[in-house]
Amino acid sequence: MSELQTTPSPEIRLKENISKKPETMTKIFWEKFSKNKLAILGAVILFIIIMSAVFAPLIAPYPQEQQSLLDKYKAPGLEHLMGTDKFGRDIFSRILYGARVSLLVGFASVVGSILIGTVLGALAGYFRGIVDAVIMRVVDIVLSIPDIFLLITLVTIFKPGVDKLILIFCLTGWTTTARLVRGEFLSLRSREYVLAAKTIGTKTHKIIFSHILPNALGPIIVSATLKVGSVILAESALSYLGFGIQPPIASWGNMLQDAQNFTVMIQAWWYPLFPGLFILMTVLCFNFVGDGLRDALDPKNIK
Amino acid sequence: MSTLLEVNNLKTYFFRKKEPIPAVDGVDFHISKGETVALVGESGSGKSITSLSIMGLVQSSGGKIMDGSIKLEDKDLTSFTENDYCKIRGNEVSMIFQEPMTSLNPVLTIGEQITEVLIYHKNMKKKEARQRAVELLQMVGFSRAEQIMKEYPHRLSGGMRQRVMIAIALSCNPKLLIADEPTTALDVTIQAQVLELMKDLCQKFNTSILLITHDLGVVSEAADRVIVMYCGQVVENATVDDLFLEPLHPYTEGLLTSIPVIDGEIDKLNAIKGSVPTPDNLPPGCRFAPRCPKAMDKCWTNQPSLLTHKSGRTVRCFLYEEEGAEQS
Repeated sequence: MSELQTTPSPEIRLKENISKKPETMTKIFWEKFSKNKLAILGAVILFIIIMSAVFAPLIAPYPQEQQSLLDKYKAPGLEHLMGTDKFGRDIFSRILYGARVSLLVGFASVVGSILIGTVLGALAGYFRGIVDAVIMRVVDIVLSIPDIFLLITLVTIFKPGVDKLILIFCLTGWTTTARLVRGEFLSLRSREYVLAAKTIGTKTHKIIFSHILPNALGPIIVSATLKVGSVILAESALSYLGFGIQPPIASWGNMLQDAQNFTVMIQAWWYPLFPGLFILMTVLCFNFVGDGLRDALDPKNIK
Repeated sequence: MSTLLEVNNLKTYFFRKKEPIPAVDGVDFHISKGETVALVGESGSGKSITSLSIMGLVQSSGGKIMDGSIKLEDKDLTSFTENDYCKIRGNEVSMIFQEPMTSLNPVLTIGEQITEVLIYHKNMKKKEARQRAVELLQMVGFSRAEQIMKEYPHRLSGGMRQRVMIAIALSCNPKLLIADEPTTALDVTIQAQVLELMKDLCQKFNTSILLITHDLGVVSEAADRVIVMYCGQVVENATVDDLFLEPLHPYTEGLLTSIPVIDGEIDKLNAIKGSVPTPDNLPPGCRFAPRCPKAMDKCWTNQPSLLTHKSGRTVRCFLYEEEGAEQS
């Protein structure tokens, strides 16, 4: 490259009025996110729940399936932090192990459905025309079937289990993401920097995935966060109905189902209370974090 | 000078409900190596569509090249596939846009955006490309190029971004640079600097420039030759000096007299009456006839063809038919 003169010509050297430290995207993001107290609280609680789920075998005082019929329906106390159930199993331990199932199902199905939805939505929004029409009609069809019935039907066909549940949530959950991403792409594809990228010879797949997609990442992350909460709810609902995680494996949903008995609810209030409380808290925290992320990632929301 | 780009009878049409709309209708011109050619005309005259046709990008906005050829040296670009085009875009032909504020990707750093071209076209390693990118940034006048590499576009001013765009466009040493109103969105002092920079660098690399603009001030400053377009057709093709001294086509004359003169004593600016007809509603005769002060009877019914004037310039007007001009 010897033909190039690399010294800047002084007459065109302009004042570069830039402060010393470049403001990175991460820094701007943290500044905005940390202003939202609820989101921070949600993130902290979620972090604790996730950590205790990961280290459940170390934290849990009892194995999740250890029965002790003599200790059944024990009220919360020093020996059993959250009491025991009808088989004398420690509820605290079961909630820790249940968190593993609920969070695993939540995260894995969201990652799966976001991946499917993003790729299909990106293709539909970028290429438009026939590709768009086909993908969006499939979305319409999947969306027109009530989720819970589809889930129940699919669960009865396949045997219920963690992997099957994740698969089913992926197959039903990608549609809304696909719509969201398609919308983003429809507006982003006609931006001038996309045309500029084309004029320097960038290949189509690079334009889609490394030029346009990063610009659409904000809404995708937000919807993913909110989605984790709703998948955890759906999993609990399925387990509660008996179509989800099967006992003796603990999940918050099937613990609630165990407790659905009037006498149990009256005599052992701790039995339904704690699983319910954890479902509520986790979903709420995901929603708080999602809201915080939305505000922090919205480029229009400049301090 | 040998010819770099030759456009012959280019027809780019758009379609609305199967109805063809001629945005570019039979455009001929050529650009020699190292030459700066300005493409001038009002909005809607087909300037930008001509440039997008050369870049092979009209298809993605719904247009179609119906006829004609675009030759870059010995390659016929109209027969190129998308893959062939990807290899020459940015490498042999590159482009600068009007809006520097929106033509850089907001989520990628300046460094990422420059190195991308180098890695793709020059097969450079990441480190090598970074080094070259710093050189390029210094070349377009950034003294703290290393730091600019890590910046995101929103931290730069319009002029700085346009210089980054120039660095990207020239990074692979292209043969032709298409500049689509490169200075329109900049303020006047920066305009001159950017224009100067572009000309300097292109001279250094022996790059030809196709300068698309409606600013005749920019034309007189930067171009060697001017092509005036009206309604998708070339109406006049002359060197800058000839054109400003003696405009032949009434439309060119109109354009020139509608520039304000700083020390002039005219209190009302001359404007070309009427407006550009839309491409789906063109007059049957000369396309300028309805707005032309010198229109004759036959202008309303017959289409003039591009004539070679005795001075060697070409003009599309019946006024010059009798003056011994011959049809080209």
